[in-house]
Amino acid sequence: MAPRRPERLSKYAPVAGEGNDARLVGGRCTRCGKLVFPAPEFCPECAHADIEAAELPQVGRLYTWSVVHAARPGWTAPYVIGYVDLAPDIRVLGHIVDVDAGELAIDMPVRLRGRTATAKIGAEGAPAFEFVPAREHRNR
Amino acid sequence: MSGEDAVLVIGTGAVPFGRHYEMTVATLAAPAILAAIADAGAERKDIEAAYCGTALGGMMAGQRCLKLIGMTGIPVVNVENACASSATAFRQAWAGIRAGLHEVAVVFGVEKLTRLSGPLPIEPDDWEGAYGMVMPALYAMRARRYMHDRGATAADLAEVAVKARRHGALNEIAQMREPTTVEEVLASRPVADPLTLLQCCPTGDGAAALVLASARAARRFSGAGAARPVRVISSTLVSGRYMTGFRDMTSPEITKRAAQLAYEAAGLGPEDLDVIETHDAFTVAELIYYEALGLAREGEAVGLLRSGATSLGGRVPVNPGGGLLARGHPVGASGAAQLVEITRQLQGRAGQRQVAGARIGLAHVTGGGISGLDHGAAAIHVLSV
Repeated sequence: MAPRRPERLSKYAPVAGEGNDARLVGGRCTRCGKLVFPAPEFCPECAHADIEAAELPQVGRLYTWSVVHAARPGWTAPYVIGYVDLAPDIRVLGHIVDVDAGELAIDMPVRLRGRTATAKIGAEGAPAFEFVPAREHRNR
Repeated sequence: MSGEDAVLVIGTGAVPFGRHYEMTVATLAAPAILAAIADAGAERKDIEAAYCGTALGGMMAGQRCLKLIGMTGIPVVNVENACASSATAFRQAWAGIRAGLHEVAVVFGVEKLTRLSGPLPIEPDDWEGAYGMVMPALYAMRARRYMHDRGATAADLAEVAVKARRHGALNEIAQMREPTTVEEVLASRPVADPLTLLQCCPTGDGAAALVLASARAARRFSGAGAARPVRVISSTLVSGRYMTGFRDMTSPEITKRAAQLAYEAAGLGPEDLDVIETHDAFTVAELIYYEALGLAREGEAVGLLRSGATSLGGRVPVNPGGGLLARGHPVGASGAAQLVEITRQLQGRAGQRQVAGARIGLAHVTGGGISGLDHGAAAIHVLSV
């Protein structure tokens, strides 16, 4: 049996570029200008269907986070997820990596990164991005 | 609404919540339905329509339950609104009576969560669900921000669980009936930091049912031994508003909006409430809802909890039945279970956990995790005697 194709959750590939050059790609309504991530098929403000790709800022603020221990089957726990505010209209759920949970702080700046090949988090088909602290790492 | 327009709750029933591996959706619900009909002083043939709320009970859950007890042939409406499923079913029965579709209806909520493994799933076509969101993590992220913004501590959150278990110990259908302590709550295993296991509602199965009737029809069942009818004075249902960007996770717009509509429709305010059941799926939720329901001003929820005002014996007991944390949270059954609790409180039939002189009660439930929304649904019902 042919493998089932995954459902499309974003109108455009959600990540452009790799590593530290990666950018998230959202969608902007060509009628009202509303910016949304992931890129939607319809504008949630005006229901217009003409949505153009729009790259998002790489740096945002960590609104809140959690270390998830009780994961769904198929996920490797623990992992850290958080909400990152990248723009006034854009809050993105992302995995926060390369930092001890104890060093995370509300509203700290975090930076997008294309997901590394070694990262085990995420389910099949999950978008290839994560966030790391925006400043240079302190000594561990 | 009063007089001939009134919709009344005339019967209630529930089965003990817990891990009932050997039972089916139908064998869970049937005893609750029969108990509610008997409590109303009615018979099966008096029921003109049925509304079944379940999130994960599968197709035609209502018919599967009713077939077991010979209640086939009547209109059956199956309602799914995640944790708000049976509160939404209750609203549909209420609306059906008001619209004159029927005069006597049964509402029931049922869930068999022990069919699942792991936390409640989020739909795979939800962006955040596909990227690792689970319901405990959503509430944990709320908790983290709430602690930061309000200066609340982990111990403050744990106090919610301690109160819930204290109340649940007095509820014969509660899943968690052993009291606990702040130390025990905080020492339990982490589920989604900062929430520990005892700050999360347990996985369990259960069912609860209510019989609703028009004021006219209710007189047929008002014989000796029948429970005192309780009036539904307002029914409110809203869905969450989609916000693509910033959203204050400590102040859920969905519940604030629902509460405002509910108070307007009922013609009263939070200060008039004698007893409340709210959606404490995780400890932090109860504190957030004290503020969203207008029981406490922003930043004063912890003080309200610690004052004892929301404990049994306090000014306005919240979750006297133990809430979702102690009674348990078989998702689709919870809305109905809350309404059963409020009804019995207003009837003066809540036994050891009776709120003295309770006349007006409110039941609040939210449902669903959807990216960009606080929740998918929020339902608030205000009842009175």
